[in-house]
Amino acid sequence: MLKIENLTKTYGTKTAVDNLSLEINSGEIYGFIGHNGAGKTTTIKACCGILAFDSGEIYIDGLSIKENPVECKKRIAYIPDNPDLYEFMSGMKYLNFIADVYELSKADREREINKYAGILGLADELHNPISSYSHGMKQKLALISALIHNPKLMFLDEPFVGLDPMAAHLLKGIMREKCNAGGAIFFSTHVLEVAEKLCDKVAIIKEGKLVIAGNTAEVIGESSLESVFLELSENKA
Amino acid sequence: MFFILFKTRMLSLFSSFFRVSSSKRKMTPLTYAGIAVVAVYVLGSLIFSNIAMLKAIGGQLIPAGLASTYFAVIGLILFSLGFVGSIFVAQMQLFQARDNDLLLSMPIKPMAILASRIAMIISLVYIYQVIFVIPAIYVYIKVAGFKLLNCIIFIVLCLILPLMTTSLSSLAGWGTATLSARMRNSRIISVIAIFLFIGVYMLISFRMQHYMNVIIQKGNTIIAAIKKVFYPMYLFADAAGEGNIINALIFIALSVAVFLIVCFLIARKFLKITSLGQNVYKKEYKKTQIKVGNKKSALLKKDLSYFTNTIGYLTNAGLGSVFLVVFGVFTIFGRDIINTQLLQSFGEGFSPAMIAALAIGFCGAVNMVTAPAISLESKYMSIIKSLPIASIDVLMTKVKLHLLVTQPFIFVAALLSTFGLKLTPVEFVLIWAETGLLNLLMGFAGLIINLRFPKFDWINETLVVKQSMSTFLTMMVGMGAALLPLFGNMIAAEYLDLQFIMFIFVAIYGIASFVLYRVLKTWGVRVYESY
Repeated sequence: MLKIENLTKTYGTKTAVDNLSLEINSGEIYGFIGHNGAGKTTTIKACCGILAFDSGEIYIDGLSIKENPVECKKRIAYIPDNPDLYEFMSGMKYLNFIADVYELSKADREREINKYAGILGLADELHNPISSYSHGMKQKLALISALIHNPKLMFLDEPFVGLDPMAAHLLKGIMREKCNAGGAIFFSTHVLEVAEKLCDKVAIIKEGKLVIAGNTAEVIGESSLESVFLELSENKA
Repeated sequence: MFFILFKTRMLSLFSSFFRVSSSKRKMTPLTYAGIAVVAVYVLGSLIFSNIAMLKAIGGQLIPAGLASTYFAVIGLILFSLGFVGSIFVAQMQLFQARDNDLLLSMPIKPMAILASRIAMIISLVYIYQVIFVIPAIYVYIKVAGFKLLNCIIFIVLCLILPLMTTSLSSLAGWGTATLSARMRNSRIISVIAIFLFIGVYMLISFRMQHYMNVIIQKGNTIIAAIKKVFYPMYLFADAAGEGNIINALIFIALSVAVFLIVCFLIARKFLKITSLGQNVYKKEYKKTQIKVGNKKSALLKKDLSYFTNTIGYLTNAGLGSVFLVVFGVFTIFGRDIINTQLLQSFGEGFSPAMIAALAIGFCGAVNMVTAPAISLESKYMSIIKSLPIASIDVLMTKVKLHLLVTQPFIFVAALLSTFGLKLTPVEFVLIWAETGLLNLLMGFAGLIINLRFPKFDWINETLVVKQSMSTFLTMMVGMGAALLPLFGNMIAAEYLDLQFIMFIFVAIYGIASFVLYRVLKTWGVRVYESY
């Protein structure tokens, strides 16, 4: 579903992502872990076609993000780490805008909006302006907007930040449900306990370089993800 | 602490002009030189046109022994300019700045935050004042001769005057911030208030000649009236006109006192005012019909919604549309002014149709919807770039919004001036085509300039819309492009038919628009995708 080949991205003299390769298959929840500034967001943004990169290739469902950005974006959804949504719109107008862009039929958008707004408890707030939403509500709205077009691959940048425990629990359920239905999820997180329990695979990135990647069980072995992460961080420091 | 905060404010102000918010693009010395040339040109033009206006007043009043009335007129202009120029900035900078929460969370006294911001507004007012103070003093010296005491008093009082204007604009800003936090339709009311304000300003501008005549004829009674109604301004005028040091000192003491009282009042209530927030009225959930649209219309609706919901954007970038309607109506009720006075001052070789095209083109060029469009997208950039939309469609939506906001009004103005000035259908088509294409050209130009000079780290929208390099350059390009037919006609009227000259400009604007469209499609898309 997602294939990253030798991705390199530099900002001036700083190499943010250095020759990174990864592969994510359908049905997988893939956790992406690293320090602040390790290159997680840069990688995710490059995969979503938000950020141009210097070298390497990224394939989404077999299509190059460089060559076919629009076709690739039809297959994905992205939730940024900071949900800066269009504050001049109401929640419903925002969702309708997203549905228009993804060319959803009236019936499809109504069904999906009602479904996810109901699950996440945002239905009663959809007609209010986004500017009146709390951080968590914006995060929920961003999540609904990412789900309504039924993407094959989802990129979530720190999706649990700002969510209340109930919403976080619901999100984990939705993520598993999506992957069981054949989708794939690539998400970054600092919450190692969540990554350990939720992810089929994990990758640890440090200073732009991939330190380790593989099945979660194989990566952590007899230890915990936290211990592995700290050990790898110290070893490479 | 005050100086650290003041420095940050000024850096923010100047960076909106001189720094491009992208690590990849640095301004070259050539760009700086170009900006300096444009700035000198703009300031020079304003100063020269103000010298001409003040000469007409000062040339009559000063020799008649009414220097005080002359300085009263200058004082009133400076006061109005400072008040109008700073009221909305005061509201945004003092009470609705994005960094209020951050600064208030730090161990900084509200008075220091407030003082640094007021100092920044005063600095802005000084910039506005320069374009009148230099002509005023030049005309005074030219007519009355060099009187050192009067000149020194005038300059010192001009440095003090912004304390009073800024105090009043800060109070007004406080009032509007409080009102907008309490009223349900504050946005609509603000827009109506701003346009009414502009309407009054335009009305005064149209009748400027009449007011100047009144000032010249009734100089004595005017100063007496000012003394009754606005005593501080009388002090200002008398001190500068008569070299009255006592009145100058009273004026200074009064201004400083007003300033300190206002600062003290606002500082005491600062936390309360900044905590007001924006009014939010929760709507009850009602099941409504969902409308289905296509990608392009969704993009346009989204941008239109941003435009109409952002007062600073709407009132600054959409002002030209108001001017267009006012001009259209003016051609009906003031056709004599155009057909006689204006035509005479333009000289032979100009037709009413040409004057209408010039005015409509100029009014249309005031609308700069695309000039801040990329900068305003900054915090939403990752949303739009993650969606399956071609970059050129995103960019063209900005141009379409520009056309949507201006083209209908250009058509109305062209139609009204055709009736008002009794023009032929061919002249109507030429006016519409010339000004419509000029507007299209400005849509492309504004967007390309903004792609080259984006400003992504803004504190509020007003900073981007009013005070960014992109808006400034687009305004200059717009005025230059709108004036082209004037110069073209001066050169070619002797040899070519007037309608043919208009047709040439239709062709020039059309070709230039096509060229800029190609630039946007290639270079523009590349640059946009690199952000």
